[in-house]
Amino acid sequence: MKKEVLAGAAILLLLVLAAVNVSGVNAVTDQVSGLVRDACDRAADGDWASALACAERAVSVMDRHSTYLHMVLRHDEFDAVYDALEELAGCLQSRDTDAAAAQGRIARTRLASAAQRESVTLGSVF
Amino acid sequence: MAISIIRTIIIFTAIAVAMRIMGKRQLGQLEPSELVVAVLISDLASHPLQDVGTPLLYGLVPVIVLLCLQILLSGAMLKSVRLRHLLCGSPSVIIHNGRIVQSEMRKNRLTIDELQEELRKKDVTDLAAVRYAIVETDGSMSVLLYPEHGPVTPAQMGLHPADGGLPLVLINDGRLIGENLQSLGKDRAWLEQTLRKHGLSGVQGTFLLTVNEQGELYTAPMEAER
Repeated sequence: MKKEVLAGAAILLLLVLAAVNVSGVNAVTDQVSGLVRDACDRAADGDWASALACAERAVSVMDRHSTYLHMVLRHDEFDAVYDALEELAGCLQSRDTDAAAAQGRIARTRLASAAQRESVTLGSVF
Repeated sequence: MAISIIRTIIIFTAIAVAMRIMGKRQLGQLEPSELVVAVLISDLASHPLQDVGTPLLYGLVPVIVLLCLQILLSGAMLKSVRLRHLLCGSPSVIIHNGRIVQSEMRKNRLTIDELQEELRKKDVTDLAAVRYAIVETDGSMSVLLYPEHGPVTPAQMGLHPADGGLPLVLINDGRLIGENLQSLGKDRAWLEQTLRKHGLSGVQGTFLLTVNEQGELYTAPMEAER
């Protein structure tokens, strides 16, 4: 009986940790996605310095959470987001508005995809 | 490569612990749900080993969940006969009072050749000698012979052989099993004296020492390593 109780408790704990993980991944991806959107908006307004600062903050958020994200996301997914953010920073440095907007969209799409993979939806389950 | 090595050690340890927790059944005697779990665990655990880009948690978490589900299911089957029958099925009597039950053979998709093969594995070559043959839920076959075809027992011959009981291992590969010595009611002095009497050079010089309830010993000295 004791083993069964422990097994049930372990499953419940895993479910709780999974919920916490979903929340954690969403928090990081939302924050990074927000910074990317800000960077693209500021670039569109011609404020390149502040746009670049936003992009670099987005990269630094990914760096700060890289150990956790590497544990819960596929490494190539994490790398794809990171690469998109680096490309965005590069476009902002070279003051290419169209390229920056495109890279921003790519980065946000990849962030959304990574977040959705951890979310419980019919699409992700099946 | 270092990552692969570390992951392999972690996954191997996790699976060994999981199998240990699941219980003592040998692979061939697993119920259907247990077999599914065993196969799934090995497959799931291999993904992070084959692809270092896959997080280790993608292998470990499903293994833990499967283990917990199997424990819960086993516990539920202990409590519920109906659930046990639903998941494990019931034994099928293939031969009943010497008569082959053909409907049960069809239900189990068992051919005559397979029936004879299973009987031969039980050292039975004559179908007429079989009173009952039962296919158990794990797929193995149990056979009960007619008394006149079975091996003779001492009781049938009116004999009363001495009962040696279950031998206790006192020394295993040069290591003393203290609790077994204690349960015999003996002490270290008795052990040393016994070893000397049998020409053994102490605990570390003994590979195996067992004693049964009649006090009969089995000894095997340690061989020198080449």
